[in-house]
Order: sequence, then structure tokens, then C-alpha cells
Amino acid sequence: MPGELDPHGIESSALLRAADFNKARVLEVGTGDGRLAFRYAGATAFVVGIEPELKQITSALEACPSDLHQRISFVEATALALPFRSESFDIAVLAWSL
Amino acid sequence: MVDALQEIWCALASDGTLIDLRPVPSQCPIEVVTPGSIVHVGEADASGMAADDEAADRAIRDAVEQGWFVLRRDTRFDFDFYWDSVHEKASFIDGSIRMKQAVPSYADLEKVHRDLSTRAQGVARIRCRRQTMLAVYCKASIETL
Repeated sequence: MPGELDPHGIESSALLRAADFNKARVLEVGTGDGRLAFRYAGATAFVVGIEPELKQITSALEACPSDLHQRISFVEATALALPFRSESFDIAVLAWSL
Repeated sequence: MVDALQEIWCALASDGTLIDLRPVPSQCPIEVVTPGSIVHVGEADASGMAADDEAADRAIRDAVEQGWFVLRRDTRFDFDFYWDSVHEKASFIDGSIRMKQAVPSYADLEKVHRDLSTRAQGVARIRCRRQTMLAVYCKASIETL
């Protein structure tokens, strides 16, 4: 997408202040093209980004920095039917998605 | 939405945290930013999904009332969009379901951007500043329920 979003990282700073992401298991709901997840995933144990649009998941996979490949996965799903076991995550982020 | 919050409640560990991050429906200032100045030129209307935002507020309120989550804190901050040209900005706004151009017209914005860009040796960007909320909830324990 042309243009630049949150170039000073105000959003990700606010997010990182909101909870302890260090080694946390994170579920991001509505991950889109992965823009937000890429900014905080480095500190986590792992991030699973769910997104209903396959096109967005493809964009996220293409844009994912190589050093985060082992830490982030993207799943085509919605929060109405989460394909995960109970108590699988420490943090859930509703990323512009509620 | 409440069903989704219940699913998330199940997926979270017992001391888990839910973070609700989303833009707030509002008028968003449009500015032209150069190294030496910030010039306010108008507003974008970001109230396009007010009904959805109200439904989201209601869902999270219901989830709290049901005892699934406890609000810890609620903050707001500015989320900035930057574009190098009016064309870039127009592409974004026209493709957005949440925002639409209010004032000025793209032609007027183009004129201000061009003038300031000339004065600032080509370094002028268009900024739209959008208010965003971040609410933090902790998962309520079984004892709480």
C-alpha cells in the first residue's frame, strides 16, 4: 500500500507497554498483512495471526522478515471458531478487528 | 462479536491478557508536514463505521458484564498516516471503508501541498492523524466467574 503507517512506531510502543510480550504466546486477531505483528513479534515466544482473507495472508507471508519466519505463523480463520486448544495463548490482540 | 470474545476467552491462559486496539470514529486532521512546519489543511471523516464501532463497544461491555474479562486500563494515542502525494492519499482514502475525504477538496489539498513542497525543497508530506484506542483486559479467573 502506498504511504507510510505509524512511522514513529507509536502504536507498537503503546502495545508493548500494554502487556509483557517477552516470551509470550500471542494470538493476533485480524492480522491483515502482518504490519503490526512484525513490529512486536521479535520479543515473543511466537505469534499466530489469524485473518479471514487469504489474499491478506499471502501478503503477510511475502512481507514477513526472514528473522521472524520461525516465530510468526498465519492462519486463515476468524475468532468465531478458533482452531486452537484452550489456554494456548498468553496475549490476544484484537488488531483493528473487534 | 460476543461469541468471538468467548472463543478468545477460552484460547487465553488463565492469567491471559486481551488487548483491544482500534481506531476511534472521529474527524481526523489532515496536515502538510515539512521539516520546518505543520500546516493544518482540513479534516477526513472517519466515522464511516460508527455502527460497527458501537457494536464492538457493546460486545466488549457485555463480555465484561458476563465476567469473562476485567478492564485494566484504557488509553488513546494518535496513529499517523503519511503520504508523499495527494494521489497516494486519495488512493488510500477512496479504498477505505472507514475514512472519507471531508475538506478540503483534493484539488485544494494538491495546491497547498505543491506550494509547501516548493518552499521546502520537495520535502512535504501529507499526514492524517487518527485517534486510536487501546484497552487492556485480563482474563477473569474461574473464582471470579
